Amino acid sequence: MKSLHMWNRRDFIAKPTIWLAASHLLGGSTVLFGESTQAEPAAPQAEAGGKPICRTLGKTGITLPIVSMGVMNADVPGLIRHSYELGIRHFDSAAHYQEGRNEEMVGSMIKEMSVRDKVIISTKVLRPGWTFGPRAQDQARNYSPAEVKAHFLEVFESSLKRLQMDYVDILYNHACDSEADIASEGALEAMTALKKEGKARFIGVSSHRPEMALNEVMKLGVYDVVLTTINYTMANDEGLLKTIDATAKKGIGIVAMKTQAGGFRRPDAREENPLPPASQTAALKWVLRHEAITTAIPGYTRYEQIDQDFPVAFNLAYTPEEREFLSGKHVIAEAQFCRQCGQCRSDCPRGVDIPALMRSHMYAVQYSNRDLARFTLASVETGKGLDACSSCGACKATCRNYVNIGTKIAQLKALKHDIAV
Amino acid sequence: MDGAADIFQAYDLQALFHRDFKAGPVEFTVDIFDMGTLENAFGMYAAERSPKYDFVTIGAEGYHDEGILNFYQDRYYVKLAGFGPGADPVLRQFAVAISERIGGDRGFPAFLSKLPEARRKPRTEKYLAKDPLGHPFLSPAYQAEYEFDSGESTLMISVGASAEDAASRMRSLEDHFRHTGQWNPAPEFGRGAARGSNSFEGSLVATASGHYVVILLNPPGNSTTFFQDAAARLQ
Repeated sequence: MKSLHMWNRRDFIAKPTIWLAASHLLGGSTVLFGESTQAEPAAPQAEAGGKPICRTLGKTGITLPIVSMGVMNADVPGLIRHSYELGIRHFDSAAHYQEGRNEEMVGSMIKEMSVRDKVIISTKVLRPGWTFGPRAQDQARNYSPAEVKAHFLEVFESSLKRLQMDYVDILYNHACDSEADIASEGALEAMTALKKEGKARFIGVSSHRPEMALNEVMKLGVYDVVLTTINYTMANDEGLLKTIDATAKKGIGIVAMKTQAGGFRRPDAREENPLPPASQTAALKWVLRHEAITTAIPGYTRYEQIDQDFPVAFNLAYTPEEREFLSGKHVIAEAQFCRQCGQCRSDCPRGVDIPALMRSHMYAVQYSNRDLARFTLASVETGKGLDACSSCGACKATCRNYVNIGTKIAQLKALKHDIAV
Repeated sequence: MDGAADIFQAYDLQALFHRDFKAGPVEFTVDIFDMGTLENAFGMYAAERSPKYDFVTIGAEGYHDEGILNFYQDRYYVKLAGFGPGADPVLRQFAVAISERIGGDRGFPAFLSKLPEARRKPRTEKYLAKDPLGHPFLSPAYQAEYEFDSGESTLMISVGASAEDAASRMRSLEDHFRHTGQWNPAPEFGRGAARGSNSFEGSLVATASGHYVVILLNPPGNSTTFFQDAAARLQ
């Protein structure tokens, strides 16, 4: 029997925001999971003979098991081999993960196992000027399309060398936070050229802003795949869920990342509250029960994580423990993740830039980065920042995703001296 | 910080300081990661370091490649990236200036001196804060690569809190290999040593030595003396 482990990067160290896309799981009901009176649709099952559930990635023709691997580090090659032995066939890396050491490890292992023709390899290239921290608009350097293209091609050639491959199956325009990133002329020129040369079989974008990315990719009509954050904290975001379906209907493949809700830094570590192991498989199943999503790439740093998660690829029915987790009544009012959708702006009578304040809060509280918090507040338009937010009694803005805006603004004000602009 | 953030979090990133600069035609960015401890800063630096880089004596150690210069010093891991003609000398000047301002400890983690020096491949030392070899019970650990006549191998030292903890780690390792492959005594590597093997990790030899667990991955045929000496150094 497995012992109860303290999960590492996937530890949920704060009370979770638990909501459920009941409408998608319960045949249209919008009540909490446990209260539904409607029969739950049958969950997809594996094929007879013990093969995992497989789906086709948009129009690419690539068929994959629904659980894949996000390669998290460059120190444990055995994780790749073990994943392959279990049945994982898609491995995701990126040029700048561990400054290329990640791709080196992936390449070495795939070569050692002689399975290049049996696996799907993706990597990602950043556009020039990408930084770890936020860049003020007046400091942003505008790279010409020619510069972006040259940079992209150069970085990708280095990726191929590290991977010891002649081609990758999917090449992503990495970390696209805006429509401009996705539509980058230079990046698109580079990627389409590489596709034409056969060095990238398919091209895509990766983004932490799923609705924006999916809509932009649909609009442009040139990308084959979108890799984006999808997890159960988005369960009641009907707009996003509809967009996912619409994107899939257009034949664009969708790969889910941050499925364990690890895409955002956990809220305040002082609220440490590890969740049961069933929470991990529940989170993964929640995502994969959406058939518009081809596969998920949870990250693994431990063998026990793969061993726990990959069986999800065979059976998406919830266990009683998973149901209990997803039905938990301890939904907290202070939902943790502001998704920067901006829908709250119109609620505020003073026009405060609430998304910016939420971002500043995240940096100050979750990342403990007062500099970033200060920088974020400083970049807010005059008259729309924290000072403009005077007490309205109860905050009049309502988050459609249950972020407790008033509480977070109050916390930010309490920290104001530490992050004074 | 996107998917690259995960490893920074594994090394307990405390804060990130970011600035953009312009010096004539050169534009560059500076990211200073407060990793909390010298060990974590070294660990993060070494996770990204390749032995093939062009190394510079800035901070405890740094490396330089076209348009980038990374180094670590005390609890900080510093990454500079530049663009424009003449960027590299500017990065170097700025890195030196940052290093002077950081001050503090310009050394390597003290534990590295316990690793055998003979046969060690330069700049392969690592500090693994979490999940060494994919096993949380081995955290934390130090490792380095070694060259033998018959091949290369990796030596890992898992640092326990006590002799009992080391014994517990050995038992966990045994449980894992018995579950996934094989685990047998390896007396040729010393008293208490055992060999584990499975299809995905290959083989390793392990023994407890004080509050440490000494592990040699894919041990070459003539490595018994090396292994025993490595264990003896920890007593």
